[in-house]
Amino acid sequence: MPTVPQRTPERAPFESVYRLEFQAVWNWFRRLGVPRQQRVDLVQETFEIALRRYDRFESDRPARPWLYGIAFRVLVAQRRKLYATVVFVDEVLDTLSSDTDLEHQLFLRQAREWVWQALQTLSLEQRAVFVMSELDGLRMPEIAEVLELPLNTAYSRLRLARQAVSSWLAKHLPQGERP
Amino acid sequence: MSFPERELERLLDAERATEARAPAQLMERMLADIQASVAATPAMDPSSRAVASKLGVTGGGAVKAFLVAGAVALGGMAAFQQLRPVFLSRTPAPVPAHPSNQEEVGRSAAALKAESVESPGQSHSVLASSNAALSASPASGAEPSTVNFPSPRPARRVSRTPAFVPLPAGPQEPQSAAEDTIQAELSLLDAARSSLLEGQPGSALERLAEHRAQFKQATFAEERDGLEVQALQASGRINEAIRAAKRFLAEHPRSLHRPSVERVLEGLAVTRQ
Repeated sequence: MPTVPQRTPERAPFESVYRLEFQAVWNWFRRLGVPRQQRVDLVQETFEIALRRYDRFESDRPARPWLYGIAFRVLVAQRRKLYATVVFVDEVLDTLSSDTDLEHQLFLRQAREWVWQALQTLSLEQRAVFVMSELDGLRMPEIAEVLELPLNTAYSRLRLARQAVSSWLAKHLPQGERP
Repeated sequence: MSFPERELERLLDAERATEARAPAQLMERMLADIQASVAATPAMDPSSRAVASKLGVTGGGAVKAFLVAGAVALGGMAAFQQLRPVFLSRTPAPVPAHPSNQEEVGRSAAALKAESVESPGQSHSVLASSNAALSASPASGAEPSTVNFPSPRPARRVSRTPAFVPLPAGPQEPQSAAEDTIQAELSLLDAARSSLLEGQPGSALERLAEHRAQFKQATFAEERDGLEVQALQASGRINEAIRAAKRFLAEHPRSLHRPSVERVLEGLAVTRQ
């Protein structure tokens, strides 16, 4: 679990929250399968709503789950358009960094493509839980709050999502090519 | 059937280790746009305030219902333009098949931002303008200055220059000829994919042809062939698309792109009835 949501300082100006959390929101949309083109719009949408609501945001709470909650609703509103795109959208430059050898880079790219393909089989709701829990490292109670779900439902979505990802991988990954 | 836990974790680690970062200029430009947009419509009436407060804290279901309701009755060509790849790849059914769902596209978030429950017209103009920006962008001559994203990306609501400024190059000097080649291949395929997503299958096909000509022993031949099927179909070259799809399935029976190619084939079979 790599990241812990950052707590924003009390009364931080919106700009600070924006600059602190922008990349997290950007990356969240990427993991939810939103291609760059649409991502710019959705990220902008999310922060516009956040700015409009910023005076009602309780500043002693972490901003990230709050933003994810807005992002999730923006995403749900646009799901039809977004999930039209079936091709794997990788951000090549992010993947190919020069400090690892080429073979390893290719493995990483392949691994991410596999993960991405498996995520594509999930419903948006399951995917959101999976991404936030498994990749973003949010705690389940936070996730349940963000998605406005009973905790048990959130856990059950995570379990189903893990099953689906796991069985997709088992079915599609040739034995010899597994890591 | 389930996948070994340890292997799954390894794959997930590859993704966990990655944080795609948007370029700093883009981030700052968007902040300016966001502030300008919010400043332009600062006051919210009580009803939209209620909607907004639900958005952040409670009542997701209600908001969704509102979004869908607010979205109905629009759509038309603008939405269709943006959706072309969907229709072409999923089903030949024309726009009106699922009115509420399709018009939800691109609408609801716009309605949200406008913060106005009862003025779909306003939302429509948002969509129209973003669509205008989409089609105007290539003509504006704002070509990104990098080989990595050769096709102009649609600027849409983010104003000025292309929306996708390349990531900071950093110390990423290619280390070997092999790596050079891989990078060049991926750039071309990335560009082709972008063109396809932007509804320009012709330009996608050009890039794919370029890739085919340039890389005889391509590492990503499979990816290219898969994209080609989609691009051919999107440009209406149905017979060629079918041939390419069949060839693809024969040559790459275990491909990860198989589902999308099969979907193309299914869609085309229906088209031809």
